[in-house]
This record gives sequence, C-alpha cells and structure tokens, in this order.
Amino acid sequence: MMNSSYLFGITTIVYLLASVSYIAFFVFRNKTAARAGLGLAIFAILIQTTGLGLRWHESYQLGIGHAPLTNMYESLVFFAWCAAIFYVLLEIKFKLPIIGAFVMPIPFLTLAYTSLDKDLGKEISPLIPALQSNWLIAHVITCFIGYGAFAVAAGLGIIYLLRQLADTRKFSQESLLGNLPDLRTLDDLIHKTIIFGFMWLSAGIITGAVWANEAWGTYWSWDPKETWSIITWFIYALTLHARFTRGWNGSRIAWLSVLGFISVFFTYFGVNYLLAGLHSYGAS
Amino acid sequence: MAAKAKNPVWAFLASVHLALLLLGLLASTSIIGTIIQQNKPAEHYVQTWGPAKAKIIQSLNLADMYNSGWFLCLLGAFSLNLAICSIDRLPGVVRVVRMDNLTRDPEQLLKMKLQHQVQVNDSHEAVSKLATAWLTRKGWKAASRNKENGLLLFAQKGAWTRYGVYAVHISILTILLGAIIGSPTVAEKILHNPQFAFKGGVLLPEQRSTNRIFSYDEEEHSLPLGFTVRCNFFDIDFYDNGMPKEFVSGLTILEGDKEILTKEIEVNKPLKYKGVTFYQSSYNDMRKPVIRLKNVSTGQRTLLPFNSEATTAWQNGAEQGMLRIQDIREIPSANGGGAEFDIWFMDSQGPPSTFTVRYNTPVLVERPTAKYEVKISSQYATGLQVSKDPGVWWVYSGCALMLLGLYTAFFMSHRKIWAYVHEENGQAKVAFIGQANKNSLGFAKTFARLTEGFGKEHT
Ligand code: HEM
Repeated sequence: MMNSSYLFGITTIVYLLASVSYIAFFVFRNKTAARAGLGLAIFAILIQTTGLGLRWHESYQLGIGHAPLTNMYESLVFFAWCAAIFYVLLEIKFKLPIIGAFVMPIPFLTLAYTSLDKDLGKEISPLIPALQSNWLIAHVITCFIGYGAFAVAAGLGIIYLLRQLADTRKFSQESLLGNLPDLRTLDDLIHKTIIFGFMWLSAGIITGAVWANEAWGTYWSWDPKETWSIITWFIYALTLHARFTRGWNGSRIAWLSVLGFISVFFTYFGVNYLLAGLHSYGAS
Repeated sequence: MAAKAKNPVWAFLASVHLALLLLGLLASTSIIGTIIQQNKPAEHYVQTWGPAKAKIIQSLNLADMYNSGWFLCLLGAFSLNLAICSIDRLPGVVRVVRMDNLTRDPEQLLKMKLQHQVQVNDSHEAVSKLATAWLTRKGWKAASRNKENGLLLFAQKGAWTRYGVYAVHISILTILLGAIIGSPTVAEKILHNPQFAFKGGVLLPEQRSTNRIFSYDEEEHSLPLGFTVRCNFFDIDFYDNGMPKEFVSGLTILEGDKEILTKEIEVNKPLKYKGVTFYQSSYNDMRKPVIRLKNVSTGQRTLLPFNSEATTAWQNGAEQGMLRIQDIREIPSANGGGAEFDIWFMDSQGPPSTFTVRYNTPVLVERPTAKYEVKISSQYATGLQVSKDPGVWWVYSGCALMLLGLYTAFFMSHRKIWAYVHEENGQAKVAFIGQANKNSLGFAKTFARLTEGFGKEHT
C-alpha cells in the first residue's frame, strides 16, 4: 500500500545505494560511481519529499491536519531530508563528490534508525494545545535546516582530520586518503557550512523563544533543551571567532565542528532520553 | 587603532582571546544546570546526590545556577567583553567605510590580483567618459580624480555591510538589556516596584473576578493588577481519542464596573491588556455542579448556579429567560453511575421546553428563535499565567537585529572597483581593479562580466 512510511522505507534504501556509490567513488575513483551517487541522492530526496507531502495529507485525512514536524520520528525524517538536500546543493556548488562518501550515510543512518527503533511513535497523533502554533513549525524547520548543515560540517571536519593524517604521515597520492580534497578547500567549506548552520540555528532559537513566549509567557526558562541549544550556539560562536585568532589552525576548527555536532546530537537526543524538561514531547 | 598605545587592561577586555575563554566557560558551565535539576526543594538534592554533594550544590548555588551570582558575573563579563571589543574596533571600521579610495596610488592598485585591462582606440578624455558611463549603467556610480598620468575612477557597493558584525554584537547586548528590563527580580530588588515587571498566576473560578494575582517569586505576595479580570467560562475540547484538543477561557477585563474587553484565550493565544498578558496554563475542577447554557448560533455562554429548590432567572446581554430543575434521579451505570435531571427551560420567545439532561452530557434545545446547548457539569477554575514583561520588545528587536546582522555579516560583502584610465604608447587604456572583503570567487565573476563587457563594447 502506498503510504508515507512505505515511501520512507524506499528512501532509506536509495540513500543506502547513494552512500555505496559515493564510497565506491572514494575507493575506486570511478567517476560514474560519483554521478550515480548524485543521481540516487536526488532521487531519494524526491521520494522523501513525496513521502513528507503524503504524511501531511494523511494527517488531514485523519482530521487532525498538521505539518509532519511534531514528534521525534517526524523530526528525524525531516532532519535526514535537510542533511541530504544541503549536501546535494553543496556538491552542485563545489563539485566535490568525495565528501558524499562521508556525508550521505548520515541521512541513511538516520532513516534506518527510525525504522529500527521500535519505541519511536510513528503514528500521526493529534497535537496537544501547546504544540498548536505556527511558531512551532517555524521553530522546527529553522532548527533542522541548521542541524542538517552542522551534520555536513561535522562530516567535513572528519574528512579534514583524515586528510591531515594522510599529509603528516606522508601517505602517497595513490593511497585512499590521498583522494580527499586539500586542507584549504576543506577548511573553507567547513567555515561556509558552519556560517550557514549558525544563521539557521540562531533563527531556530529565536522562533523557539517567541513560541514559548506566546504559549507560556516566558521566552527563556533555561529548561534543558533550551540550555543545550544555547550551548551549541556558544560552541559555534566560539568556532567562528577562533578563526580570528592566530594559533587556531584548521584542525582545531575541524575538531570544533565535530564537537558542535555532538552538542547538536545531545540537544536533540540526550535531552529527550536522559534529562527531563518541557520539550519531552519528543520522547513519546 | 594603530598609533595609540593601548592600556593593557583595555586590550585584554577587548580581546577575542577573552571572548573565546568566556564562550567556552559559558558553554561548559551551562551543562551543569541541565544535569542537576533546577529549583527543587533542598531535600531533592540530598536524596539525589547525597549529603556531601548537596552541600557543594548549595554553596555554589547550583540549584538555581542560571540566577546565581557567579553565572550572572560570567554573563556580565561576556557583555563587557563584547561592548569593549566593539567600541575598540568600531572607529577603525568607520574609517574603512568612509575611506577616500581615490587617494590610492594607481601603481599600487595595479599590483592587486583582480584586474582586467582594456585598450580603446580613442582619446583619453573620451575613454574616461565611456568608462564612467559604463560603470554607471551597470549600477556602479563612480567618482573620479585626476592622477599624475591619468584619471582614476572609483565605485563601491555594500560599504555599510562592514557594520553587520557590529549589528550582531549590539543585538546580543540589546537582548540582555531586554532581559534585565523584564526581570521580576530587578523590578523588585532594584526598582522596588514589583508592578513594573512580574511573573505570576491566578486560579480563577468561573464567574469570579480578581484584581490581584500571585507572584511566582514570592508566593505569599499578591500583586495588584490595577484593573479587574473576570472568568466567564472555561471549557475543554477533546479529540476523539480522548486527548485534550484545546483549553479555552472566556475572560473579561473591567475597569471599575465597566467592561472594557472580552476575549476567549487558548494556549498559544493569550490576552494582552495594559502590558499585562494572560496565558491559559492550567485548570482545576471545583467539584460543584453548574448549569451551562450556550446559544449555538451566537456562541454566547451563560453559567447558572445549580439550584434544585427554585426557579433561576437568567440574563446575558439581550438574552434572558428562566430555568428550573424539576427532578433529579440517580442512574446506575458501569462506571460508577451518575445523575439525570428533568429541566424546565425558556427564553424570551415561545412556550417553555422540558427535557432531560444527563450529568456531563450536553443536550440541544430548539427554541423558536434560537438553539441552546444545555449541560450540567462541574464548575471549573481556569489557571492563568499572568506576566508583565516590559523588556520583551527589546528582546524581540534584538532578535530581529541579530538575524539581519548575521545575514549581512555572512552573506553580503563590501565590493570596490577602480578604473584607471591612462595612456600607454599613445593608446588609451583602462585598467579595472576589483576587491571584495568576502566571497571573492563570486565577486571575481561579477567583475569579469563587467569588465569584459566593457572591452567587447568599446574595442
Ligand atoms: C555569542 C556571542 C557572539 C556572537 C553571536 C558573535 C557574532 C559574530 C559574527 C557573526 C561575526 C562575523 C564572523 C564572520 O564573518 O565569520 C563576529 C565577528 C567578530 N566578533 Fe563576535 N560574536 C559574539 C561574541 C563576541 C565577543 C564576546 C567578542 C569580543 C571580543 C567578539 C568579537 C568579534 C570580533 C573581533 C569579530 C571580527 C570582526 C571583524 O571581522 O572585523 N564577538 N562575531
């Protein structure tokens, strides 16, 4: 039967195929594999977009119509979508398909996780009163575009560190890691990606604050989720400023891009599963 | 910036190194408050963390760490760093924005990376005119100055974008200022005027009104509102699966006896009056029956006291009528039983209606000119969160400024184009030189299109 979960299932497989193609390109330097990777990634995004639209439609058929952005499952699916789109745009702009070998597995693993975790509520459920707000939609969209970019930045950070390892160990140009883009290019891409993510994260925190103020009369209450989002924001602000001071070379920025994403991850998962707070709706 | 020897304390306070340190400290210490639950009673910490750790938690104020002295000091130091850094750098930026770019030595400019030379078979003066006209046509309004061996033209775009970073920095200070202005603690301890900014709540039974609310900071403290608020009704709407769909309260604001404003509030749809905002936050069952009339066509609701002894006359605006409970019967049922009531009811039109209504189950009553929903159920009290935050507009303005500033700082650039018109071997020659402070690749493309276009048109 054609429903949104079925489409997300197909999407997962196509992301896997795209990842395999990119990895094949990384290992064998076969240009056709890279082209296949991009084609598959775009195909997966199209299917996923249809799936998201369909899920939205399904919610209206159940008479509780709302954008598919309101629980953990839906937000993971949306995150995978954002990361994949961000990556494809990055590849089209900068033409470095090797990065796909490190980044394309992110949407694949995310979607695979949503189908494996049995505790993740996948049904479309009605919204409790506090969640019925357009600010919530704006909040989730802006945050997840940012998270998608930060995921890609962390992938780039790892590539940077591997490349650096290859350079310092003087691996030959023939070796696997010799295929990776050069450090300057990577550093520039990490910076650009973080800038993009930072813009959206800031917008995400702001829309969240406005929503909280409309619903509860406090724009900031230091609940664990809010606090972790500001911690993430501080880490990326630090990363941006670290560039101005000498001594903070590319590898530290690369580490920070990884640390930043760990913080994103914690904001997203850790808070729901390990700590208590207002946003615990995501855990249901 | 360069000439004046800097005071070392100032230099330290203005440094990005300090900023990195403070951002790192803020990020890492903030974690503590997400692990140790905040604002719990003292016993909670002893139970969760043991007496030794509970002592540390208490002495470092970790149970309310985001309001603790040391954390506020950290935020203060951060603001100071941000302010001083910006004050320190701003004059330099103003100078760069206002700089006279025509004083530049053409020979120096010709050493820059981004350039394109075009030879034109025409007089030097004519070519100068052509170049100026070309730049203007393409949106680059150029100024010019005579140089030793020719004429230098200059045009720029986006010089103001250099202020983008400072807009971001100022926006952070604006947001923090807004937080201070709206802080109940500041209003109470520093301004000694708790009415200036507060956060509180009130549990208001249906049909009752209040002109005071309870501040969350000092629970025993009640604050005057300066006007009266009345709860007309409270209602919960459920989804088919039993989940609450919406909480609604009908509120009326009164000044003295005069009704000023009536509004239905929901979660996410508060009522604002005179800087005070009322949010739907909870409700309470008063465990006392009331009779609810709702005119289905106008939506007008009337609450009547439950009186089994006598006839109750009711009036609500232009609507009026009478209601009597004629009989009450207990009815057994699977889930504990309930009650059934025989009602005699009329409004201003037509003969009275009689019907039976079960507890908590609405009945539709058709009258000649109106349709009523009649329900007997428990009386509710609506739980309102009430706050007054005069700083919130500072916060919102700061947020808007931050987004504009970030966009400017990240995605816009200051672009400059010089055109040096001179003669070489008796031929007029235009050397275009370009420079951008960001996105140099993108600018190089624009520059190539602009200058090659000139070459095509004039050679
Ligand atoms: C979380 C707080 C902060 C945010 C969000 C922030 C934001 C920014 C942004 C977006 C930029 C532009 C970066 C780029 O173009 O890549 C910037 C630059 C800068 N920031 Fe901050 N900043 C913060 C705190 C601070 C602090 C505390 C200082 C104090 C020293 C500082 C000093 C600077 C300096 C010196 C620059 C470079 C300006 C230039 O390009 O001339 N920032 N900041």
